[in-house]
Amino acid sequence: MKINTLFTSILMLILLSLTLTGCGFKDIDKRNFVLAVGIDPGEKEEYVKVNLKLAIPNAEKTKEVRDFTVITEEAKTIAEAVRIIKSRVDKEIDFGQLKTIILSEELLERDLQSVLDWFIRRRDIQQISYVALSKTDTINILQLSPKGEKIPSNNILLTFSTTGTKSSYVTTVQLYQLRRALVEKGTDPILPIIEIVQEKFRVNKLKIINGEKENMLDLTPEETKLFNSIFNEYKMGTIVIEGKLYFIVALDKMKTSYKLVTNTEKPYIKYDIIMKGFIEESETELKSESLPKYEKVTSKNMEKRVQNLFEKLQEAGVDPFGFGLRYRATHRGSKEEKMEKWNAIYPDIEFRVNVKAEITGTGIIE
Amino acid sequence: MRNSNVKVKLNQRLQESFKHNSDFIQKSYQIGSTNIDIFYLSTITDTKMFYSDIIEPSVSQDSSKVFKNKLSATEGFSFKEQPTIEASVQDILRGHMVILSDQWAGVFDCTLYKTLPLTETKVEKTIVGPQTGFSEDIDININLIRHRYHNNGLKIKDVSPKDQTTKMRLKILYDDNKVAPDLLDKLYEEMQSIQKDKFFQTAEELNQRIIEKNKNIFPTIMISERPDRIAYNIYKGKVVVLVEGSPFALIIPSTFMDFFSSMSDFYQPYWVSRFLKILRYLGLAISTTLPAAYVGFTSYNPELFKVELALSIAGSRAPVPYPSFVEVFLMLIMMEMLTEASIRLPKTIGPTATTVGGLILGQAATEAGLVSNIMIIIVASVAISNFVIPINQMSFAMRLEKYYLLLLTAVTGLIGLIVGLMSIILYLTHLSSMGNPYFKLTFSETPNYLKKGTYK
Repeated sequence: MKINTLFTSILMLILLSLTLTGCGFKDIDKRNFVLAVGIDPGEKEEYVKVNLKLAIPNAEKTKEVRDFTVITEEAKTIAEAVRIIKSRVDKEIDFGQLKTIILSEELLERDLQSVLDWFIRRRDIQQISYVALSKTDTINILQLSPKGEKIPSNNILLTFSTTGTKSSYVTTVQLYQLRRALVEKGTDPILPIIEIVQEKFRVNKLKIINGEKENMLDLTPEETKLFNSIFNEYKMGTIVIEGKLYFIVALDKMKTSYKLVTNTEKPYIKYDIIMKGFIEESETELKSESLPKYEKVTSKNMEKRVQNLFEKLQEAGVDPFGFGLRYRATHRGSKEEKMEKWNAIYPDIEFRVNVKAEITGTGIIE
Repeated sequence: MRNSNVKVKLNQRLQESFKHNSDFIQKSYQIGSTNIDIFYLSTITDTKMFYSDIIEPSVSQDSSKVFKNKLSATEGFSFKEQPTIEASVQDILRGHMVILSDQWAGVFDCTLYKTLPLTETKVEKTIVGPQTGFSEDIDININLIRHRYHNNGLKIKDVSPKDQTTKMRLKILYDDNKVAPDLLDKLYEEMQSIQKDKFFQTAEELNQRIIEKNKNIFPTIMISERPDRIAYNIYKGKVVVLVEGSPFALIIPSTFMDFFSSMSDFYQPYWVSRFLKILRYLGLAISTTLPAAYVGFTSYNPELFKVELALSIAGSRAPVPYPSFVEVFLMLIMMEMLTEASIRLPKTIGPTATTVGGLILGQAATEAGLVSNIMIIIVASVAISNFVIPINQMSFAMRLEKYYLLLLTAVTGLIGLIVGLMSIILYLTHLSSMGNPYFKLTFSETPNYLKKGTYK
């Protein structure tokens, strides 16, 4: 009997304790999911403007579920702005589904690292969120909901991730990559630029930032594509060959490797590219017998273009490929010493690009 | 029995013992010069042969010698040198006929069994393979097993638990060449020690008596109604206990994995049976963890969902007034009610109840905003996958298990789910079935400890 009453009271305690849910317990319908964040410089000096894009869940399946709201708040720091926003919404703000971070280009004038600090520290923000740069106010990007978008902000997400479209123009930068490139000496961060064109997003440009020397370089769409092909060994790219012959090579395979030689009198970087593809489009008739000829033309063309790209980067004093990091990794000495040496070497370093192109077919059955 | 006084005394006491039994028959014959008394219970004794083949010829010839000779030549008859009242009563209760003459006494075993013909397996169904299950007659059951196990290693022993009121016949079956002697010793010991509540009548109850000491959640002794499973387990060196009047047999020892095997595994192609086995464990995982996982994910860690799912769950939960675990609990209890109800209902009404409950109730509950759409899917998949487990005992145990996990998860989140699962695994490893590790993952053909003599 005694044991029975003890058991019952323990059971009652457990059952009663169920009604006391702690702060960890928060039902999914009592959460406001932040799908995208846009950061702009504030109107006041040193202030930031934070735009949060919140999803409004909709139970009706038949309706196009595109409901969202964008809340803007200005404060000295992002954390403070978010605190203020919390007081303006009815549900708990949840950053667990945050996948897109849009930064205003004007923010680059400030210390990017301090802007990103909040994102890095928050444990509920996924480090695989995509980061992009906007030339205009980020609220424009957040407020745009292109036709056919079923879930708010899904369009940007699909653009950047490989689940949706795959394009060699789109550079994907995730939060952890950006931070790594920012903090690490010897490699410079890149950021894709997102624009609105005809009520749709367009991502085909790239900005390379050198935090220390405040050098920045914008790449054209064409350069961006080439950069992506080499930098990410992007296999789906195309290469347009112009000149006497005009044809487009669709890539199947792209492999790059480089050697950094600094012990010679004139330091150089030997950059090898092995690529394989077939001809996708041509203005003239191409014969499969003369494939070696086309291969040669492609190699020459590529070599020249890659060389130009490297030299452009060198001239601007940016190093997104991380040659400096390679230098640091393969040389002895203190960090500062090595960086100093490298900064002296880089402006004069020579690029020896060597492309081995293989064309498997003309794309036409003869 | 030279002394006819003893006979008279016995006669009187027997009549006294069965005083208020309408089916108790006592008859006296005068054959030749001898007085013969017979005693039996007409309801459980088959007397046709006795009357036509023994009494009739003896009476017509009026010779007690013919009677004695005929009787002793008949199968099932034995003389008793010193008949005691207790033994005689027992014999009569077993359906035997007690025969007392002036000079001798004897017992004639002519028990009458009234049973239904063999029926199809009801609990452990398979698509291919043998379809007959055990009957409620222990001798028919032994007959079925013997016909599946033609090996003289098969031993059938009578055991009786001490102080048992109903005096049910228990038989222990094993293959002498395969069984571990220790296992037998331990089993005898356990049988002897069954004392609590001296009344039992089925194998299931015996099972409860044996494992009652530990108050288990999980079944550690398997109950089966399939003769093929029994024969297979005897071959594997296990011991089988049959109980009079019960269409189920106990298999001792059993492991956790046994409860996930179906006899059809042997009758299906290799990869098919593997696939079915994986399906069962998957069903186990779904039916135990899904309700808890739903609570953990929706209320503690929604970031684990994809955006699409998170928003759709949030949308469908929007009109639900209660926290997720109340919602889950509500639906689960409803589902348990349905399951229980459909077991109790007659076969003809059963499907109606499930349709009404499952379809209409689920639909209405969502429309009324009591539960979310996703919840209905979860409850349905939990209910269905629970029935994938082939042995009922285990699926009942697993039905209970999910509430334990649900409770832990509701209080502490996904950590609770993981800790809960770990604690279940720890508990399973702690269990043993008649001294045999219960949560044994790999099963070798003839494990060493089951081989004769190697255990010590």
